[in-house]
Amino acid sequence: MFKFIVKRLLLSAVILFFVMFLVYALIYSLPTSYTEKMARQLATQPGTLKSAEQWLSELNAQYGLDKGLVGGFFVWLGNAVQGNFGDSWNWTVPVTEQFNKTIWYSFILGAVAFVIQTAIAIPLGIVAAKKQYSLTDYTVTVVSLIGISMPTFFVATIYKLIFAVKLNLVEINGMIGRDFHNLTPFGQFLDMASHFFMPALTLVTVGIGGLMRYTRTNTLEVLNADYIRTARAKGLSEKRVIGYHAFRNTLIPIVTILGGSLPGLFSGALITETLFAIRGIGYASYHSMVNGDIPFTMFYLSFMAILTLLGTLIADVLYAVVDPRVRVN
Amino acid sequence: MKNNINEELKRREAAATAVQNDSEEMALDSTQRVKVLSPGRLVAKRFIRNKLAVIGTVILVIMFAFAFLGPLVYPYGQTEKFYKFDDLNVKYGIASERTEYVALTVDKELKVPASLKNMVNSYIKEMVAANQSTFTVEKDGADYQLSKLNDNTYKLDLTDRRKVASYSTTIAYGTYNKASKTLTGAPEELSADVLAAFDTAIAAKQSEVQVGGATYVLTAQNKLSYAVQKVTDKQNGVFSYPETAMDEAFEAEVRARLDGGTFTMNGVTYEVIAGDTVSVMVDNGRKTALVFSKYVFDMFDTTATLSDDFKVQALLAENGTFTVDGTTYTITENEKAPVITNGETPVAELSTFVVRRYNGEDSLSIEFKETAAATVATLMANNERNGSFTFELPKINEDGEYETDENGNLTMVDTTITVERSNDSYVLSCMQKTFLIDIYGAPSAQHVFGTDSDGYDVLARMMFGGRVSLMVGFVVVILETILGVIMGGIAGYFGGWVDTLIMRLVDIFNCIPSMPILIILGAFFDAMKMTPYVRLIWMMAVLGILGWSGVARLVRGQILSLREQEFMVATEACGLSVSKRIFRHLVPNVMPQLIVTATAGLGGVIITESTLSFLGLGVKHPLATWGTMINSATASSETMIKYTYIWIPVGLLICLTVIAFNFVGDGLRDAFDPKMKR
Repeated sequence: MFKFIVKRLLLSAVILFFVMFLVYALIYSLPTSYTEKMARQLATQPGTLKSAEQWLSELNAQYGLDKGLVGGFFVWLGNAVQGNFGDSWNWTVPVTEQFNKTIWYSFILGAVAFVIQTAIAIPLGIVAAKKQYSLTDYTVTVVSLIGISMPTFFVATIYKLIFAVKLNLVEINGMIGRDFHNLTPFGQFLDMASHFFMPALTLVTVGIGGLMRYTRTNTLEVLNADYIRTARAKGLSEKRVIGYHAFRNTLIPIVTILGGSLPGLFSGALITETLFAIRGIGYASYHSMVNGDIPFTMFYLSFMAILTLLGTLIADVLYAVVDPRVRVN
Repeated sequence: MKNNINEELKRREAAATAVQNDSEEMALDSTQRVKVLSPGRLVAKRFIRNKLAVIGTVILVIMFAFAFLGPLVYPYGQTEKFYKFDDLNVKYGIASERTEYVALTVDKELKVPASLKNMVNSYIKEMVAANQSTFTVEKDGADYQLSKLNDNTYKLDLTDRRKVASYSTTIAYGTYNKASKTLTGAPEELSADVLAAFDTAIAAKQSEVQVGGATYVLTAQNKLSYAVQKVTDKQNGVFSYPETAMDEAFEAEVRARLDGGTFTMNGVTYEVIAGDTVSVMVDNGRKTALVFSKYVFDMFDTTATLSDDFKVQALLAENGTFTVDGTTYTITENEKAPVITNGETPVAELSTFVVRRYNGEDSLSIEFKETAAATVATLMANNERNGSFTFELPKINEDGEYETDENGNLTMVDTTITVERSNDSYVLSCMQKTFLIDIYGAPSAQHVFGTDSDGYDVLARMMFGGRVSLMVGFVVVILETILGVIMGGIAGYFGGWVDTLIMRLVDIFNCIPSMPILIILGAFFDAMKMTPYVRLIWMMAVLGILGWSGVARLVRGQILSLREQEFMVATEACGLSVSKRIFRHLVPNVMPQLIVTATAGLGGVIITESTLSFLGLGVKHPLATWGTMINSATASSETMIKYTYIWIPVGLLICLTVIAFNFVGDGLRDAFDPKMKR
């Protein structure tokens, strides 16, 4: 097992290296006017002592842009390995500081949505499979397909219209209310919770369909398996057949997929956060990308790549852990 | 050939079938009971049995007809602007009280310094404050007198003292160049001695040179050239005249009085003033140069204009009458304002209110001006900012034209005109039918879903947007599939290091976060200012390149097991080429799965495309896409709340299309592989 993990980690490192090289090549081949624009901006900021040319050469040197594609990549990589991702141009703080500021909002949002979505999707998926071709089954199937088919931005806008405008329950966007700083700690918590309500609901709506379908398909497969027939033949109650024999087997792939999506909780919800102005990592990265903030964008992309690789690794390992029949190699 | 065995057999078989068809009873084990369907028809049958799949297919067919056939039938294009006539609160006119006195020239011959002219308004204020009726100013040695004619009119008098001639004893004698030693522009040539004397004087830095009985004055102009003036005797000076030249008798009289004095000639008294330059002045007595008035001439006939001369005469008129071009006019004070009449016909009214059309045109009727002035005066008296009055204005019909009755006269309609103060003036506005771009038109019979923020028809844009979305979906999915099949096929067939290499490439592409990359590229395309079509093509290419890894993985997995089967041994035995083996024999076996993945993937691509367009980083204006339509209608919370009839239907279109693709994808999977039920 240990050997397997080490091997996979090494492979992941190689993949990550190439992914980052591709991404770097892409960003490198964008017109250099981004650094030029940045240099001009920095030069006009109050208190600066350097001219635009000085800033430009300094920025180019700092990001290794003067050393060509490959040289520049290794400069970036060397810094990145040491945890030095430079200063964000858009947020004017070190990249890691901006990351620390934003990541927990994203995590909370992602975690809340994840818990709710799991708590709803798994029971419903199992119920739908248990009563295949019933009204419940069709409802679950159709609802989950609708969830999959809705673009996030449309769901978000609909919720804004319903909850913020028609029902006037919550504010239309933002993370904290106007009088946030005058509230008691509990009041502050409630205020933030009300602002996180719509984004979380959006994420649940968009994400629940896939999990529900997955659960249903897997449960159906398990219910058709021989050991379920055996359990029924033994005369076990339907409750025990489903709740004990079937459920535990259904959980195998579900736990795997859930474990694999755990790192994704940190990746932030790009569209949702941007639309609801939740200042998480997705929001920060969207604005960085649109404004050509290369240091933060590079950091975010490598972070995303690491999370994806980590997700696959966790899924593979969990698969072996949960199901003893599977050999790791 | 009577006993042909084939004929016989055919005949027997036909007889047997006939018997079977005739008799309703069919044996239980008859093979006739079993209907054998081809694999394709089997799949189709299973597909049709699936309700959701059929619903999805129907939706898709409708959607394709809507997007691709709809625009052919629908009368409007995607960038066709619509206009309408609507009541708009237009700024009709502007009224202000004239507080400044405006100058009118009485006599062009008389010059008044501009600096003095500019000060007149403040002088008048001083006069009003001190309750004076005359005010005297001295400026540049001349005296000017302002006198009050009435509250709103003042005149400026001056003594018309003019210079008629001047006499000088220094004569300009050209320019002397030190380097070339030449004198240019002189009335006569000077001898070399004189020029040599100039040089010595220049060297000695003297300005006066006395040579040959004459005196010259040198003034340095620049390093090399000097202006030369010749100083003559007192009696030999030269006359110059600002206007008309005088005769010799006049000049003799002046020469006799070079130290000052007066003389009379032809009934005119001339005054000679001594000095470096002797001046000869004539005094014409006091005259009125300018008249200052707050009055505005409001014409009874709005097409006529008044000359400045007329205005001056009217303002200066004594005893209420004046004559211009042989016509005598009278000024009568009625209860409101003075009116100028020509016999019985009123010509103009004097008022201190300026009422104009908002664009500055003076085309309003005198009645309108009077009413507006009266309203504004009341507002000013009560120190209020807003008011209104009602006036008859020409009616404008639905088509934006003036309405006329059967006689061709304009139909008048009572219009409420609101008056609102803005700084020192009052803006008169009223509702009028105006030709407008039909922005955010509400749904109507003409525009079923209304019009958008550019005045485009929403339904037309929905159709064209559907074209883009479906086209992007198909192109991207086809591209993904082609790339994936090639890469996956090669990897799966060859195995070994080729497989490892390609699969690591798949891992890498799988790992690249595609949404951020697309956003970065979108911002990059923005910076490049690409045309919408080029952008569209690039976007499709990028989406395809980022999305092939899933297909490749699927194809490789299938081919790994398929290539071990017997039919592959057969292809090898037949000596088929490798590419034929992969793409003719292996890939068709993966087709069912490919079709299923592609159909389900279409929905995903449409969502990605519309999300990008929604963020403003995908397909751009003026090309319509569903994403941009939602974006423009929900750009601000206000429009989002107001124009739900635009963005909700468009959003539902996206959802419906994607759901339909998912339904069909599901249905196809079930139909291809009945064991694996959803």
